[in-house]
Amino acid sequence: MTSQLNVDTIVDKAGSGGTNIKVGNTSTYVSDGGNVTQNAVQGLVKAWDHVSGDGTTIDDSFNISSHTDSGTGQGYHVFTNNMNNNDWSRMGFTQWADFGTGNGAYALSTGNPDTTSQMRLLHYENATLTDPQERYIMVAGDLA
Amino acid sequence: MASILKVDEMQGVTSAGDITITSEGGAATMSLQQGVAKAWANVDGTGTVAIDDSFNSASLTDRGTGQYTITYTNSMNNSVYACPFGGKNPSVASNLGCLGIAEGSDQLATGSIPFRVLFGNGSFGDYNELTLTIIGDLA
Repeated sequence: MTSQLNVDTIVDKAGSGGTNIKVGNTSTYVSDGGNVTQNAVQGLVKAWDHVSGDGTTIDDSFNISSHTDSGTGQGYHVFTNNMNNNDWSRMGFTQWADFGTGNGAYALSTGNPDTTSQMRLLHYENATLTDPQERYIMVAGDLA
Repeated sequence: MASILKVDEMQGVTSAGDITITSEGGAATMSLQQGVAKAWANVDGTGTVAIDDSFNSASLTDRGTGQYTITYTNSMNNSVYACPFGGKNPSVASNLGCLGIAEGSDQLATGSIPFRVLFGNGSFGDYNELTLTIIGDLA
């Protein structure tokens, strides 16, 4: 029998506002348009961060334990909880240190492939590895 | 004792497609549905292109060098959604490129997204790994 619970608010047992509610990984939600249902956990962002340009400070983050500066313009964003495989969706963004130099672009390394535990992000300006002003990543995919 | 609430599907009471969640800081509420990624994919863009892993992504079409289209399983509700890209360039030393949607030629659609890799030398090129995530209104 399908169960349906109609409530306006779910909070945790301590009544602190629902911050400890756990959602099972087979849970589905009704879409914005109301026409389909999809898995809720598959759609969650699994990690994100905002790291200083010199790679020394994590300004804010989710599921990020550390950032390892591996040289000018490059670093590893290390997850707290690992991904389930290497085939996750990764987005990396950087803020140019000097927009006027032109030809800036970010790229992800091939030399040190991403793993289940970290993501490498590189920043180039004028085809040269350069420390950006800020570094950001966002990860979607299967969490371990 | 920890309490566990087991349900198969989450729906809003007032509107089925709108469940409100409380923010981490506790000062705001927002729509759960609006904050969930509606699709994501990790694809191999070289040789015989393939989807390595994905969610709500039915197929990948190779439209030529550096040009691809992903078709969704469940369509979006409109064609104005967010689509951040990522990628792994084939060579760190050269062929730095950017991923995006070509103005005029490529149009976001409710059922698919076309995208391209443009190298710094002005030509299209294949990336051996391309990733994208779709955020917006699901149909």
